Amino acid sequence: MSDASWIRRAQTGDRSAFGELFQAYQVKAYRTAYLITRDRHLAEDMTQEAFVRAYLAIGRCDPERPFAPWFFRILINLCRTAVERRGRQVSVAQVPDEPSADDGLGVIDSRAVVWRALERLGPVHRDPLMLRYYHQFTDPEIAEALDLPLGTVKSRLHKARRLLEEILGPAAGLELVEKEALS
Amino acid sequence: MSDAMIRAAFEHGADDVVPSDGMWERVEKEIALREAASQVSPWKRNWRRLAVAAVLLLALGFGLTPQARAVVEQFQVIWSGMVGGKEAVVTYAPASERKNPITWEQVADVEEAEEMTGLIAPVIEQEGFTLRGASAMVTPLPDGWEGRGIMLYYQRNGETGYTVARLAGFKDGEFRPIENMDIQIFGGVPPTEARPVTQGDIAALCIDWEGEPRTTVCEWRPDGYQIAVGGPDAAVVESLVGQVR
Repeated sequence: MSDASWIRRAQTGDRSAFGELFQAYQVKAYRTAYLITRDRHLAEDMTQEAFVRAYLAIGRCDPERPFAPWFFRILINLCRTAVERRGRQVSVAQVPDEPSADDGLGVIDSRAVVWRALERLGPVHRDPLMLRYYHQFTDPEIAEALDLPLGTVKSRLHKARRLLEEILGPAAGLELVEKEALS
Repeated sequence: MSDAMIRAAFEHGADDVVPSDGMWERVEKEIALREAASQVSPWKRNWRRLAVAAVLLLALGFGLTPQARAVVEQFQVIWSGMVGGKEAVVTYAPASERKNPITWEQVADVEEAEEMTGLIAPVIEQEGFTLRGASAMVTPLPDGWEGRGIMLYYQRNGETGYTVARLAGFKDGEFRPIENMDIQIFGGVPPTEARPVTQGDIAALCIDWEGEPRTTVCEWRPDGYQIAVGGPDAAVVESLVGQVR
């Protein structure tokens, strides 16, 4: 069945139908919450709360439109608020330890290098990129999820990519392109 | 840099992050709790009575007194007297007399209610009360005023039906003190009694509805804001007078 069918059934009070939506989105939701909060416990709490709120507000969800942007708007707002409240906005210096991008054999993991660059972007530019490339949302879906005008989404995506390339630098960018071509 | 590289980087950032078992069960449990809190009918009726009484007190409380008192004269006077050294009157009218609909919106949590209204949520300080839900309202009133309020729903030792509200008048970008203790009640059944109750240095006006469900609502006015508490047990509600921060 499609998301629209589950939404319609959930709107009649069918909690198991909402359970199907939960199953479809819980992993991506949790990972999204983690990418924003960088805190597994907080991410779990916010994911759980987002599903509770989504169920209680399911009557306002338009089944004719995709479920994901509507749901991730709830989740992202919760995560941002939680991060602000806890003063847990993770700066570059506070980013949790991650495995080295170098595998010890001198081969650089381009994914880790780019991820570290993404972390330095800050949420204003990182979140649109996350929705575009991790969730594969369209521009209008990103606008809905972030509650932003479409034009703002386009300009932020454009600027985010430019900033990302600036952070990585010309040499790093070239190296990554080469590695990608070789892989 | 390709789109695939950026996508792979995000996947790398969260690739070992997996939600714990049992999240759906916790979500279901929380949904059931919140739905139960909003569907218990005695609780809901109590809550509506409190909402009506509290908001109409607000509507009559700041700067509208001459017009309001003219209207009040048309209605059934339940009680009049002094509360904390000030004149107060409680009147009742059928719902058809109601001019402005007042809508309380159920919100997800206390923080959302505070964000919606700009008010600080009232908290019951007695032990044994468990918070079960929250509502908020912003209601346009005449002459550019708004009535704003937060209402929290509590269980007391498993018994539903206890509520606490903070209300305020808002105009020209700021909260304004509520001056009067006049309470006008529209709709439902008329209250059976109203009486002043004093706890320490707090003077409140308490209103009772007998029958099913039995309800008592007490209201007082610290620092220009209006506090209203309600519930099925009159003694418990009276004991809460002044016990809200």
